[in-house]
Amino acid sequence: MPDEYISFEQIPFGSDNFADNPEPRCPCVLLLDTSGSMSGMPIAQLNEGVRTFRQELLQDPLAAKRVEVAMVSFGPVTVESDFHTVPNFRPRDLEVTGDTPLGAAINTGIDMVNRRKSEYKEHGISYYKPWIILITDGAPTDDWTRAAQRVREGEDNKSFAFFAIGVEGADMATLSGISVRTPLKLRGLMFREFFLWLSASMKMVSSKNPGSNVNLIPPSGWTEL
Amino acid sequence: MSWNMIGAAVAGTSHIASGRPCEDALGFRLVTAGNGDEALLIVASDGAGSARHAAEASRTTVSIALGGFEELVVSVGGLTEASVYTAAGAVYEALSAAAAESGEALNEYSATFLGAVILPNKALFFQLGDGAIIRNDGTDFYTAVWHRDMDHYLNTTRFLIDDPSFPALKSMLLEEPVDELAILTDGLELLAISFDTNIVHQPFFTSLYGALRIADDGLKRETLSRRLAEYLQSDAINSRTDDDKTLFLATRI
Repeated sequence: MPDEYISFEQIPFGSDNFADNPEPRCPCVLLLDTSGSMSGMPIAQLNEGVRTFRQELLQDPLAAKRVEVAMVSFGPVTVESDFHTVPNFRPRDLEVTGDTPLGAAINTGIDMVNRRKSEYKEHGISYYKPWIILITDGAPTDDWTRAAQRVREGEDNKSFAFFAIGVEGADMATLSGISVRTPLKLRGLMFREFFLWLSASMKMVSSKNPGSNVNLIPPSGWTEL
Repeated sequence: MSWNMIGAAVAGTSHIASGRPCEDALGFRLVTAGNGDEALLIVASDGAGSARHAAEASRTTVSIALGGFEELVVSVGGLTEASVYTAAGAVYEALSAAAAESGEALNEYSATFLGAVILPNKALFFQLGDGAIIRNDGTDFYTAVWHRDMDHYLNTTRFLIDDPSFPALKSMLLEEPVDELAILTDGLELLAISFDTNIVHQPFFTSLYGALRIADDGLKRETLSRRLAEYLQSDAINSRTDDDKTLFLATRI
């Protein structure tokens, strides 16, 4: 009798032949202000923060495969990096350039997210709710009313989640007029701490954390609120 | 006529890493219906990772729904699609009571709800939120009772407590014998279903059912139960998903 059970134990059970699905994707767009006022320490710290973001996500095997980062600088509005999974997201260091076309930058970010979502659908890739992260230290130098309207519509239709982060000098009142979620003010130049928080939030989302709302880790340390 | 069945719900690696318990729950039992027929009841639930009482919510969902279905099947013997709403209503009340008692928001008790009641010539399936119910269509081809909705985000599934009128609840009553079925939570969807075609990945199930069909005594079924739990925690599976995962398999003998 023991022999019979030993042989039953040997019967193949469970295959390692799984459905060949692409990894689900978690898109995230960074809209980064590179206007003149960011020169010096702010831009250096911002670059350091982006590197930290990449490094942190790389250390999480699932997030590294699932999170797709795109990066847009303004102004002028420049797509620094289209959507790439973390290992292939290799942005160059940002330099300060011109003014602050906030409206145009937001419109570009929303267009990119919409396009990426159609690509996912076309290829049968499942995905998480996209995130758009805006970081700015100034006041818009272009018309942002249309962008604000699209942010509101996007949040209402659950098309994406939009987060606005103000650096010292940012026009927080205008940011409040754009973002449905309360904009957060960065304390000093704590970009590194902000990006640590962002990567932790992305890791949480990309490891499937169901919930009818985007559930963020509470911001701590890096915000003035 | 009876069933060979096994099932397991195990914690995902992300839950283990962050010290959270397994927030999936699974329950199944055989009962005798009012008319003497044998009825197989299965309920599975996946507690929301963002909900503070996810583990309690999924356990409560399973135990209350199983009890509700048993009462319906035993007393009346007449199973209808309305039975699903009755059971869901009982779960909603239990979760509301738990929320009231703990003073927490109801959405801290977010959990999915899916399963089946199988009678000799009748099958009732139900599902609210993620996960999949798979059946043998009679030709040894495995097919999902409901297909995945590609339009929704992975992290925005529906939960039973979302709305007491259950607009997202799907149910289906089949007036035919179902001889083989599987129920899984979304931790395994990526491995068991091809998303681009929405076709069940056959090799995933054929190997499991091959062994289950010949498990003709209690000891063999115990062996398979253990091997199922080991399989769900194997590196092969953990490298593809870090979520909790539940798998139930039954074959009529």
